[in-house]
Amino acid sequence: MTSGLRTERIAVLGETWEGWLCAAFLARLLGRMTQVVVVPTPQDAGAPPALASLPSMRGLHDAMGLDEHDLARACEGTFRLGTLHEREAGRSFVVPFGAPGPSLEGAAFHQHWLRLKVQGDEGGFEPHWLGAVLARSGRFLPQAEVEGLPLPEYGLHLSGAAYAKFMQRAALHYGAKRAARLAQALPGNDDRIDALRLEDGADLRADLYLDCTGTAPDAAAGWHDAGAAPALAWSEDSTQPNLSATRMRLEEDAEDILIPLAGRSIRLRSGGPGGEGRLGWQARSWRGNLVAIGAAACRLPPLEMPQMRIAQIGIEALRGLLPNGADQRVEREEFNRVTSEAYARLADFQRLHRILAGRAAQPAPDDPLARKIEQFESRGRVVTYDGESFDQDSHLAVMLGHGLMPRRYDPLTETVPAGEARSRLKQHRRAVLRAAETAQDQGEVARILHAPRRRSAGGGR
Amino acid sequence: MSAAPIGDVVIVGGGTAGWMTAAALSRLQKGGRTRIRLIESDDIGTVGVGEATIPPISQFNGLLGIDENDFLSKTQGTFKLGIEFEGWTRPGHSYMHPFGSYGHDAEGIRFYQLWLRGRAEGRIPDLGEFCLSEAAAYLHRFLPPSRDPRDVLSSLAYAYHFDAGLYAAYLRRHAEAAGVRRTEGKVVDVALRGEDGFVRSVTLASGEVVEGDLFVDCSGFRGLLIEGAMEAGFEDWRHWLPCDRAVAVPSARTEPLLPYTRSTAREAGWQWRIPLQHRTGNGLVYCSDHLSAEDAEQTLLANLEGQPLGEPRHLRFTTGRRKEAWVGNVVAIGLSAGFLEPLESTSIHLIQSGIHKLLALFPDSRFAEIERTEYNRLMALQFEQVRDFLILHYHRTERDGAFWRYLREMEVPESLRRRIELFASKGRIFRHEDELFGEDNWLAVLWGQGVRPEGYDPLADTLSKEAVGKLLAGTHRAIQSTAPQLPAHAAYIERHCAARPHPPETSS
Repeated sequence: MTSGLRTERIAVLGETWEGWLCAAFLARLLGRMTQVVVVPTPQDAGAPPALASLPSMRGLHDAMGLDEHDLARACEGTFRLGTLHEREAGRSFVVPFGAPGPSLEGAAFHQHWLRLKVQGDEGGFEPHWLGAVLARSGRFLPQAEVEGLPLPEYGLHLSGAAYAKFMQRAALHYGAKRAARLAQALPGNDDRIDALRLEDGADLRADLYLDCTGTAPDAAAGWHDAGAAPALAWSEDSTQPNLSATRMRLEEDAEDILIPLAGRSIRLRSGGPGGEGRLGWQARSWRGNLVAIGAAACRLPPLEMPQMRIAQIGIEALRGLLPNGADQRVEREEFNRVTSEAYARLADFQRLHRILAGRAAQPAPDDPLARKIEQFESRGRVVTYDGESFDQDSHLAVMLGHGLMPRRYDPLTETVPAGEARSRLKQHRRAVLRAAETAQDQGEVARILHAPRRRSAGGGR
Repeated sequence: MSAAPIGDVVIVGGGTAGWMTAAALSRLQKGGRTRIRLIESDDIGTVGVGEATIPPISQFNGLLGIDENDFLSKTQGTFKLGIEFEGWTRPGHSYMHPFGSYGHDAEGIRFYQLWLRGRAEGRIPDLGEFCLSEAAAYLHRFLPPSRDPRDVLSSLAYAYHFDAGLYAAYLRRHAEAAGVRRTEGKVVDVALRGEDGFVRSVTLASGEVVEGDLFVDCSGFRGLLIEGAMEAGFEDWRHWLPCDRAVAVPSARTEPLLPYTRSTAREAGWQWRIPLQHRTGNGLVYCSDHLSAEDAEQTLLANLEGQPLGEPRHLRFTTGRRKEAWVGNVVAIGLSAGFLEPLESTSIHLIQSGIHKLLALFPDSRFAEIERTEYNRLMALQFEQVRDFLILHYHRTERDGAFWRYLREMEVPESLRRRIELFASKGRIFRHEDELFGEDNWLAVLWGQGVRPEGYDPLADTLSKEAVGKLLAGTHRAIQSTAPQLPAHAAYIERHCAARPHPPETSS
């Protein structure tokens, strides 16, 4: 058995938000045993004006010793309880994080609602879901311990530029270094990079290279193409309708997104021709000794704001499969299998939105999405696969939100007498209301969080 | 809007599968529109499928509201902390596949990765000494786990050994109390509906015709309805798992009462040993191409620890699964759905899993195709995952003889190949969604069967040598000092769940 860490240096190509995030994570993780060097390149993409994270990103931040309140404070952050999807004619629905309620008598919570709904005497589902109610009303409840309701989960809305700076400080604090700009990558054998020639004339050799430039190679071999990229137009907006939810509107040929930061909002219009490059992902984002992470590996439209999640997928897969030394074949194959599966599921989740909104073609019978839609339509059963970014509850919210109503319900719900089911749902709704009333308005939360402090915030602990 | 619910459910066959199904489905009667009826023949002997179980059985019992001590006292039950595999890797070698976990993770790094590092740097105790279930098993001790995650006792996990016939009888009382109607009789004919080929009714030897909306086939290997009437087809897996016979015999109880199953590799198969309160269950699973029935019987009888009680019984089977476990209005549960040898005690779990999925996809009178295809897909996946785990035991060995050489050299399924390769590289194990066996289960068997990783996860090097040494020593001390303080297995049973002197008659 071999022992000892033989990865002396990891070079991160790209002085981007993703590059600094990777560098901070790896420097913290690998301590002083492996040197992490960030190399700026001419292709480096700029930070987007706003980013949004999923609740699962917290695990990554935790592992870096970063507190999300500190992050929010340093990055004009607000707490993201979900996405508010505005539809035509003033209708809207929320895709919240976390679960609506506990299962009962072996049947999922929503099945009990569905049964009464199918029998014709029940209102909408949203009032049963604390996360949805909080997201819609601009409230925040960090620690709910309310009458057995599931705890609402949250991600963050962040300024992209501030996040990049924050991660840069964290990376340097944990011992990462910044090198001179890249002049040229010197190729070696078998798809491998031999060294990086820098503008100062030095050659930098590493055991592993990460491509975090944010620039995906168009139509490279193994590129899974998902169409031309839409044009993206960012602007600043002073309106602040709701700090707890990303607001998203699907228009004829565009997506209009409002991301609330503390004190201002960022508007993103995505659509029409003139976008840069192609959408899609690399089926083999790890080639030789070069691993693409973030937008260099996968580019998807901004629906549900997937950018941070894409970076997270690559980082977490790499964490589980860190190589040691030059023979990286086993790790590479598994990494490529796992990440391309995860990118495909993420793209499917966006496609599910568009199909249900009538803006994309119905899936073919052998499409994994077909099974998700059929199973839900038939009896409200939510199917997910390995490698999902969004859990069953998010799928439930999307399908119900777009008005996909199951034809039938789980017969196990009938073991609860209808009258009892009705009164239990009513109790549940009351508990949700009471909990929402005790929650704070997020404008108030933001005022306290972002109040001037004596100590400067951020930078890791 | 919804179609009418299923009115009559007819379960064909008693035994473990039939009565587990009846007991679990009996709750559907609470809605007031569904009736459950079970037909079993006193003539047809039931096969005592795997009297050993795996931990998820407690969820099934929990769903039915069964009290553990009461159930064990009425099924001659004992506790099971794992399976000992004797001679599998090579003659003279043995290892335990324990339930429960090994050590605990630190800094987000898996315990076994830290152990692999410690092992690379010096002499440290064997992996199994870091698992409380294994330590307790070898000392013949048992105590239910603690719920406090800080307590080392919380890392323990267990299942049961019991008399499957008595378990069926126990569940029969439960089901009948919940209103399930039992009919004695042998099915002699099956009538299909002309319009859709669904089963309309079954005819009993008495001449009685039993009609139903949904039929659950628990008739065993032969698949009276699923194969006999619906011709579902069978996927044969004997090229990966070539054993096709078994011979079984009980023997007298021996002391001490072991809290684990033992599986001993033999020339052309393996022998099980399952300790119950009143006796020991034994059997030899073998491949008929390599061993005759007479030789198998002799091998079994020559390797009993106690006096044989009764005549050896011979069984034949074909390993594989029914291509479709649900066809029309017939759902096969138990041996009628497929057979995998009880090497990892999965027979009862496959029944439980079939019931669980049937409840999750329970049809109404319209019998949506979508529920049927989903059921078949999920059951196929479950069978395949267990199959891969079993193949691993046979494939990674150093045993001699034509039988074992074939298994070592054969091509294994791609999914298993990838798993072995990932472990052989840096000891990495990933669990897939919905998978029955988790990381610790795979670890026990991969390591036990002699797969040795070339390295370990480089993340394990991020802790200092002292920190790793301290963590390993502390974990080892906690486990090795706790295990001897647990009560003896036999004493725990005596105190909490001893069988009454005269066990109730088995109904079948």
